Amino acid sequence: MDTFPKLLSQQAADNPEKTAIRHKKLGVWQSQSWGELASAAAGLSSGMKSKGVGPGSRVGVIGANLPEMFQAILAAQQLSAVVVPMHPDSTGDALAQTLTQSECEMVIAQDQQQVDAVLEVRGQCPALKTVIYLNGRGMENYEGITKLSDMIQEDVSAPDVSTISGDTPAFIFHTAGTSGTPKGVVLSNAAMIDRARSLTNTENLTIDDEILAFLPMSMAASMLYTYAISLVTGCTLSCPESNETVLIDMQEIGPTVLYAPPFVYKDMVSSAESRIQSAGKLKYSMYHAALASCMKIENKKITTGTNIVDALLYQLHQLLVFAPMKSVNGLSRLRVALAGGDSIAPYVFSFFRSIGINLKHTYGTTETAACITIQEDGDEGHNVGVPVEGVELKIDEGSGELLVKGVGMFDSYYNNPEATASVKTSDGWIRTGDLATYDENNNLMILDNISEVGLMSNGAKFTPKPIEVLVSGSPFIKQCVAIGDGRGEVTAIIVMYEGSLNTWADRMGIRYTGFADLASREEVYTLTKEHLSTVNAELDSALQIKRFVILNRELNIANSEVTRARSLQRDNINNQYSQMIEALYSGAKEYKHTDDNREHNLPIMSTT
Amino acid sequence: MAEPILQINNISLSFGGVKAIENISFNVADGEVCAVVGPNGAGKSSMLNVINGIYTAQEGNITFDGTTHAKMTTSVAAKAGIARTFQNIALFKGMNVVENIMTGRNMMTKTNWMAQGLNLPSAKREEAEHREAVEKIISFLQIEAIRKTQAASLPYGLQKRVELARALAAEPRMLLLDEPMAGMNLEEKQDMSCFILEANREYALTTVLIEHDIGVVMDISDHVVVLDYGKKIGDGTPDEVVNNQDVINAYLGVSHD
Repeated sequence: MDTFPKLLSQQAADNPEKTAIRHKKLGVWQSQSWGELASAAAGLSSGMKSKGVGPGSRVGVIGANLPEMFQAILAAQQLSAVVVPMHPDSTGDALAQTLTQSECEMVIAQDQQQVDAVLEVRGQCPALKTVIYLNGRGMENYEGITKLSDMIQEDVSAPDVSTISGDTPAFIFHTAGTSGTPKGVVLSNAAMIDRARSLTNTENLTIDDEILAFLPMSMAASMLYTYAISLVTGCTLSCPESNETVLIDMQEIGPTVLYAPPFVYKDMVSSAESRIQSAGKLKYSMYHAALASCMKIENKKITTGTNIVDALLYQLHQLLVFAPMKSVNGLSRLRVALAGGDSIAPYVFSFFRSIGINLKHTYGTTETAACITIQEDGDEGHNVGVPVEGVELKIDEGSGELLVKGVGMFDSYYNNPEATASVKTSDGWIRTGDLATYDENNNLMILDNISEVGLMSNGAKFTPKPIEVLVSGSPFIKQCVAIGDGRGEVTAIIVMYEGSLNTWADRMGIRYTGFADLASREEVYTLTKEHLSTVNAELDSALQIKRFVILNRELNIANSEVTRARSLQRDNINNQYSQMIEALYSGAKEYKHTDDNREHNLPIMSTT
Repeated sequence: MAEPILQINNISLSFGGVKAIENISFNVADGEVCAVVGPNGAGKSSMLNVINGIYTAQEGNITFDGTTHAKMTTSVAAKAGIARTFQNIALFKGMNVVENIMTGRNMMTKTNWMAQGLNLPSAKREEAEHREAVEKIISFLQIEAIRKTQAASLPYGLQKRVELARALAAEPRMLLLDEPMAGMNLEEKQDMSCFILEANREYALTTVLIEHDIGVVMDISDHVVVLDYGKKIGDGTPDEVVNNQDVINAYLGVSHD
C-alpha cells in the first residue's frame, strides 16, 4: 500500500462503516464513513477526469479543512494528479506565483473569498483552465466557474488505482520562504506514506484515534498529521465548523493526537495564564502552587528520580487543578502531543509536561516530509530527539549543517533543477540548511538556520534563535527579535502578549489607556527586565542581552515581518526597524517610533 | 417597477404640540432596499415606529401587502410579517445567542405552553425544527463561534448582528432596521452591508432601513426617502436624491455668499 488511493480502497474494504471524517454543519457533527468517503471520491474523480484531469495534472486546492476538500484531494490522486495545497488567505502576487510556478490546471476553491482571489490572478496563469468552487454564496452572477457538487458523477464504480506506483508525486508544497522566493517541493505518495507509517509505529497510533484538522492545508506537516495518518490508520478526522470555532470544536471532539507549531502551544499557556489572572485569589494561588510543584517534580524525574510522596502530590494536583483545566481546553483525551516547525520555549514545554501532557519535540523540513526526528517518551531535554524509522542523519564536519538520507525524502523542486541540485548532494544526502549538534544522550539539537547565524565583532558566533526561544518562555512575551550580527553586544526587540498582560495589569492595579500605552509602562519594562536577567543567566556571556525595547504592537504577517507559521522574516525586520536598532546601540534612553502616522516614545532599558 | 408592498398614506404624528411627522406619503416596492435618511430629529425612527405599530398616527393610514390599516398595532405588524431591529440594542442580555434568536421564532410556535411545559413529543419535535431554522441563520450570518455566548458579553457590532439574526428568525416579509451600522468601524459596516444585501436576496425580503452614513446608503439602497423636520423633502433613486437641491440644503445648510 504505497499510494493514497490504494489506502482509501483498503480502508473502504476493511472498515466500511467506521467514521472517516466529520464536520459540524448547522451545529451538529455530521459523519462520513470510509465507505461513503470512497464512493464520494470516486464520483468526484470521474467528474474531474471529464474536465481533463489526468496523470501528472496539477490540481490546486485553496480553502479550509473540509470533507469536500479531502474528497477532492483523494479524487485527484486517484487520477495520478498532483495536489497543490494553498493557504486559504493567499491572494494577489503570492497566489499568482504559486499557481504559475506549479502550473495548476484546475483550482478547487472554498467560497467567494478564495474564488475572487483566484479569478483576480487568472489572467496571469496561462495553464489554469478550470475553477471549481464548494460554496456558491454571493456568486450567483459569476460565469465560467463550476460547482464541485455539479461535477460529481453518480453511480460510478471505484477507479482502478492498482497501477499507480508509489513514486507518483502526490503533493507540491510551497516552502514558507523566510528568505528568497518560495519553491514548490514535490513529495511522492510513498514518501508521505512511509513517514506516516513510521510515526504510526513510534507513537502507537490506531484506528481509534481522533484528530482535529485545523492547520492550513498548505503546510506539509498539516497534511501528514491529518490526511496521511488517517488514511494509514483508519482513524477519524474532524473538520472544525469554522476558523473561529476551533477551540470549541476541540473541546467537543477531545482529540487524542495533536500536532501544532510552537506558537499554538504558547498561545494555550498564555490564555491559561490570562484566565487564571482574572480568577479569584484561591484559584490563582492553587494554580500557581500546583504548577510550581509539578514543574519541580518533573525536573526531579530527570535528575534524581521521584519518590512516593512526589508521585502522590503530582496525582493530587493533576486531579484537583489540571484535570478541569484540560477538560475546558479539550486536552483531556490527548495522548500524543507534538510540536514542530520551530523551537519551543523551555517554559512552555515544562508547562505541558507538568499538567500531564506528553508534549514532544519533532523536527523536519518540507523537503523531508515534515518529520525526521521525534523525541522519545519521557525525554525532558531541550532536544528534537532521535531519527524516525528509515532515516539517517549526518552532521557536516566543516559547516555543522545537518544532512539527511533515507525514506520519505522529496523528489525535487518543481521545474527548478538548479535549486534541487543545490540541496541534494551527489551521494544522496539532503542538506537541511540547519545548524545541528548532538547532546550527551545522542539526541539531535537544532541550533539555528545557517543563513541566520552571524558573527559578532568580538569574534563570537551569533545564533539568534536559541536566545529568542528562551526569551519567549514567559507567558507575557509573545515575540522576540535578538540582534547582534556584526555588533559587540546583543540587544532585543520584544513584543508582549496582549491578553495575559492586560489581566496582569488589572491584577496589579496599573491604569492604562490601551495596549500600546501599557506596553511602554515602566512596570512592564521592569517585569520584562526581571525575566531577561533569568534568561541571561542561562546564556554564554557573549550572547547575553544588554538592552531591550518593547514594541507596542505585534510583528505581523501583513507587513511581512513574520511568516504564516510565525517565523521571523529577519531581513524585512532589519530594514523596517533599522532606526530602532541603531537607537538600541546609541545609548539612547528612548526611541521615537512612528507607526500608522502616530508617534510613540518607546523607552530603551538596560538589563543590568 | 414592482408592485408596492408598503404604502404610507398621508401619515401625521404629533406628541402634544410637537409635530414629529407631517403628512408623509411614500411607497416601498416589493423586494427593494429602501433607506430613510435625514438629519437628527427628522422623524425617521418615528416613521419606523408608526410602520410597525409602536406609535399610532393621528392621521393617515398604512397599506401593507394589500391590507389597509388605519391603526397598525405591533402584533398585527408582526403577524403580517414585519420584523425590526432597534437603534438601541434590545437583546435579552442574560440569554445566550441561540436563545435570543429562538425568541424570534415565537410567533411561529404552534404547540401550546402546556405541551411545552410537559415536553411532549410534539413540542420537542417543533423545538428541533425551530432550532434547525435558527442554525441556518447562524450559519448565514457567520456567528457559529458565539452560539453559546451570553448576549451581554458580546461586542457591539456582534450584538447588532445577533439582533439581525433574531429579526430574520421570524421569517419576515419586511425588515425594518433602525441604524444597523451606528457606531461601527469601516470593516464592520462593510460586513453588515453585505449581510443586509444578501439577506434581502436570500430570504426575498423587502428592507427599510435608517442610516446616517450616506456612503453606505448610496451603495446598498435601491430607493431613498429623505425627511427633514418631519416632512418629506426627497424620494427617488440614490442618484436622484443626492442631486436634489432641497436635500443638499438640509444636509449641508444653505450658502450665503
